[in-house]
Amino acid sequence: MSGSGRLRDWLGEVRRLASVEHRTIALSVLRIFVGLTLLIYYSQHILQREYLWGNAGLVPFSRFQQLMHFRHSFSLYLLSSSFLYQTAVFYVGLVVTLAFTLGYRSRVSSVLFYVFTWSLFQRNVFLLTGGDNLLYLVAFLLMFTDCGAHFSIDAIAGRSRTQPGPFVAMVHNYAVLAIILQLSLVYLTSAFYKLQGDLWQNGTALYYVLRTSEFNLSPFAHHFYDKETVASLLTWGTVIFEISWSFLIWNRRTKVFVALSAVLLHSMIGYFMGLVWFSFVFIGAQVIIFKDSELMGYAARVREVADAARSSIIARMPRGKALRTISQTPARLS
Amino acid sequence: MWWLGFAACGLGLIVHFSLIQLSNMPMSPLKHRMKALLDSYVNPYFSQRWNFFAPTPPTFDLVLLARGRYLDPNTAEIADSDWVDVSDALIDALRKNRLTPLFHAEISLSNALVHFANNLSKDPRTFTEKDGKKYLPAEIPADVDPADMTVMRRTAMADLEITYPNITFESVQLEVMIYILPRFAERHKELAEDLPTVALVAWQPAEWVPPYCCYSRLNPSHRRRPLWREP
Repeated sequence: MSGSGRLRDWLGEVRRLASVEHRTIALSVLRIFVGLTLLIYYSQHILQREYLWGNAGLVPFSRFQQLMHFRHSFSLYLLSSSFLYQTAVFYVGLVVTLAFTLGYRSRVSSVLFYVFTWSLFQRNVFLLTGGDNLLYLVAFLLMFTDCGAHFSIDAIAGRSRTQPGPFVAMVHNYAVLAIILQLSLVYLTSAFYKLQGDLWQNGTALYYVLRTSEFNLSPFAHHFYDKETVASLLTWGTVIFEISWSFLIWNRRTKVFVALSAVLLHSMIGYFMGLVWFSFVFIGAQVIIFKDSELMGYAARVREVADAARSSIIARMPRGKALRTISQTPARLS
Repeated sequence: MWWLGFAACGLGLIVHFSLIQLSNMPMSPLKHRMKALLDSYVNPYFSQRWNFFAPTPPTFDLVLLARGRYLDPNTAEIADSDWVDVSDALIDALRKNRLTPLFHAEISLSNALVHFANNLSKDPRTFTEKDGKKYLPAEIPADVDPADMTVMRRTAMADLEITYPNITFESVQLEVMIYILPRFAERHKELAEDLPTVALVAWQPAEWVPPYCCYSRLNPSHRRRPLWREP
């Protein structure tokens, strides 16, 4: 085959691949993680809405206006200081978040979700963590994806079954790539800064983090810094994980190891440092590294193991007990 | 047409992440030169910070104390309340329950405290220099770092209102205690063994603040008072 023929084939393959939506299962799971986080925020804050988000609370309206002007930012909460309006925006945001999480009219609800989430976060920027930062960046990119294709009201209603046009699919795929690149950037930037720090280099950084009263929440925390070896391994292990994440997610085998390491690391951050919602968002984001076929393969394997375990339990049950249970059923029904 | 869109999206992605990554990097001649573009493109909608305790993790612990001033109806004289440990009450709630709704109240106070402590050395009114060393004044003006000060003051007010439900405060005073963490080699030392640096803020007018939720489950009478204040 000539060079131009090979190029034509290669371009055809690129177009074919880019014209089909990829990782829709992962995106749907990510939608649920992101939506659930905000749903929990809204529901936890109903009783303290005025304190956290209101005009008489932590950030008075005049201070909020100044901050928005300084940051050149926008928020729906900026449009009026009236108590009624602010309350209405909060509760409409809650309804939009519920619709987004359940996957109702996902194309529209994902846009509304981003607008309301951004507006809420801008109302009080003091209470944001790195998890919230990642959340609104991912929420922005989810607007360009078909994130309601699975586990959604749209899927049940059959709204997402029509194959999107090649241009829409291409934008979707670029957004998926952008989410992966965004996560890579998070871990690589973090590792870049850690490698420059003396305390990260000498393996004691974890001690200082866990020693502050804010993050020293567990009675077991001292086990991680009492011994030099443990403290060093955990400090360096964190840096190694952050560096390797971007490189190991492209291999079918190593990506499983990466995802499990991420779940372990972020679960520990959640428990020991109390950053539960930060960890929740980061754990949920790991799903994007898996293709749909891989996720379906894992689900099938989990079902096989569960079936085997069920069969094994039934086989080990005393025969008389099992028979008795069966023989009692008709009597109860009658 | 499809290929045009494909190329434009690809190029857009490269430019987007290049600008974001440049804004994430430490200051450099290139970043300095592109500052205007980076500020207008990245901030606020794509702003991000991924340092995560790097390059230097926290080497000090910050605690906010507060007390209120009020007119005592029994004596008709001005009286001051006891100091309350605002930070500890919120951290303790998180220690008992990682899923507490008070998490965001705690994190906002913590963020404000860290910014305030970092800004202390930037405002010339917050220190005096002698023999090349910086010293905190007896009292820091209340209008230093107004954004963080507002969050600190309002968190303190919410706490004082819960701790003293029958008192209407006229003014409030904040105190930030900065404990230097023991070095790793001295990790078995208690935090309170060394005296903290104390940043006392001038009295400020008190304003009513709606309470944060779930606080009534805590018992204010059991709250820790800083040891060094005991007679």
